Amino acid sequence: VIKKAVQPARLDDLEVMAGISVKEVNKAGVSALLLSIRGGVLQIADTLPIECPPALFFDPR
Amino acid sequence: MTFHGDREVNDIGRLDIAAAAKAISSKSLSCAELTERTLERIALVDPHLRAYVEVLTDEARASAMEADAEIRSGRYRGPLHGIPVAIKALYDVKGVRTTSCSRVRQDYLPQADSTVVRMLREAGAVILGMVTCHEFAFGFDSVPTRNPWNIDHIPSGSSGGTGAAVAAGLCFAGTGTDTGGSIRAPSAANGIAGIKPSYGRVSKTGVTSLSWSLDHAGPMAKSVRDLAILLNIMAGADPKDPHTIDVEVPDYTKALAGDIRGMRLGVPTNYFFDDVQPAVGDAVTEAIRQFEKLGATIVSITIPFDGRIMDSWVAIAVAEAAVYHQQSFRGKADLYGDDVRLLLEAGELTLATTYINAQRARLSWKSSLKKAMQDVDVIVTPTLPNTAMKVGETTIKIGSKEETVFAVSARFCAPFDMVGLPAASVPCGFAPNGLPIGLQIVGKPFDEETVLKLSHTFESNTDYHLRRPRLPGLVNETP
Repeated sequence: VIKKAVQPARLDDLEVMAGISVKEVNKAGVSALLLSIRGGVLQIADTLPIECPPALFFDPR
Repeated sequence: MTFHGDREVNDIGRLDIAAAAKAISSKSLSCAELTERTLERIALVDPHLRAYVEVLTDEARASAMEADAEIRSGRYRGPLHGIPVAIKALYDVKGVRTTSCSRVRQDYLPQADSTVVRMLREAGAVILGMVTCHEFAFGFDSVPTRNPWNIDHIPSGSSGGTGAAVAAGLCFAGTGTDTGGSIRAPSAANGIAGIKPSYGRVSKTGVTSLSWSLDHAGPMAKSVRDLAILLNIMAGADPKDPHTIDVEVPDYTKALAGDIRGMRLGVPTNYFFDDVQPAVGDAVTEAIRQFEKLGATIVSITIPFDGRIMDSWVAIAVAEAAVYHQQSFRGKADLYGDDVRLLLEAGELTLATTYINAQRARLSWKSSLKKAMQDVDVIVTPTLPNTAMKVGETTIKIGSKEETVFAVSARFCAPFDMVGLPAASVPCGFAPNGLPIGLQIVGKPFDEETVLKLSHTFESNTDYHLRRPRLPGLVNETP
């Protein structure tokens, strides 16, 4: 399991791939947010059995 | 303007829908008078609060006169007949600019009403105008709107315009949307009642999306009784909205009756009481005591949430929002506010695996919470860890924890958007700074009845919801 999150230094590569330009003043904030969410989500995902599917159409019941 | 002897009716700011409906149906108050008096209040107060994006003065007067004509002809539609309501600027209103409070949508003129607006009109409501929200509902500041309890503070958000307008009596109720707390947070911050129904309970057709799988639509009002009246109108499956779920809609007003003896209230021992302002913790603890006095059984429970649920919430919200805005973002990125732009940029760059894993984690939380709630009817928590922040403040320190406005505002609310459970906020106290505090009551899937019953019982045994702010522009009104 890959546990390492996207590094801020790679943001430029991601921007090219996505075809967008992150505003200069937002770059640090976007990097930090991506690191945080990928890290937090992976911590949970690593504990889930692979049979646990995503909720594509959410039903709260 | 003449009123007919009923003291309650003369004080428009204190009237709730149920009381106004009684006066209208008994013909002691006309719809035109009610609308006119509310428009007068808006003219006096709203320059200070700035809750309205646009007031539909002529349209509201015409609707009110039509409503009176119907009553004269013997047709009374029910408790919303002639009641002035405000619409969050995300809900399409035919022929009215529905801007989502963004420069991106300045010229958007819907060709049809959103389903909820259509239902409100069919129930006889008078649409007073469009109220503010945080840009595209993606935040909690709701600039430029101010909190009626203290205009140096924000009304929270994203349905901040609805919260401020209802609390100030500039409408009788309004619509909200809730993706991470946007109905409950401004309800708490402005001292009013609001409910985020179960995911799939209320149609979102014609409502600008923030995050399809997390968005909920619902009502905000002065009392829980009014929420029940509004939910009776708004709830139900909509063939045009694939997210709605066809579950029978009960009469929510009937659910308010009776006592709560024997009902079991789960009080979390973790997460929801961490890092809260002392006044908030005290007020919620007192509210729980009040429930116990009324005969409810208090049960300590452990909730399967920790801070990582917020990471999953953010991953889903930013990714879905980025898809929704993808086309316009490529041509108009500069028109978005910096805070919203940052979140959309993060959404564009979020990996698919992160999004899918967040949706997997969501199901796991839903299942764990279901188990945690097995032996209780509801969970009670603070709605927010804090009272409304000052205008311009970007972070807040509670105990040792420093958080952004966004993080602190979503912390206790967003988990229940993740699991789609019905959750209400009702006023449960005031902090020493005079700002309101909200109590969150969370029920099981599609059991809005129990949430409303407990909320109403609490409200009926306290007077927090009856207090009104001293409003700028109405110096002679008694709070």
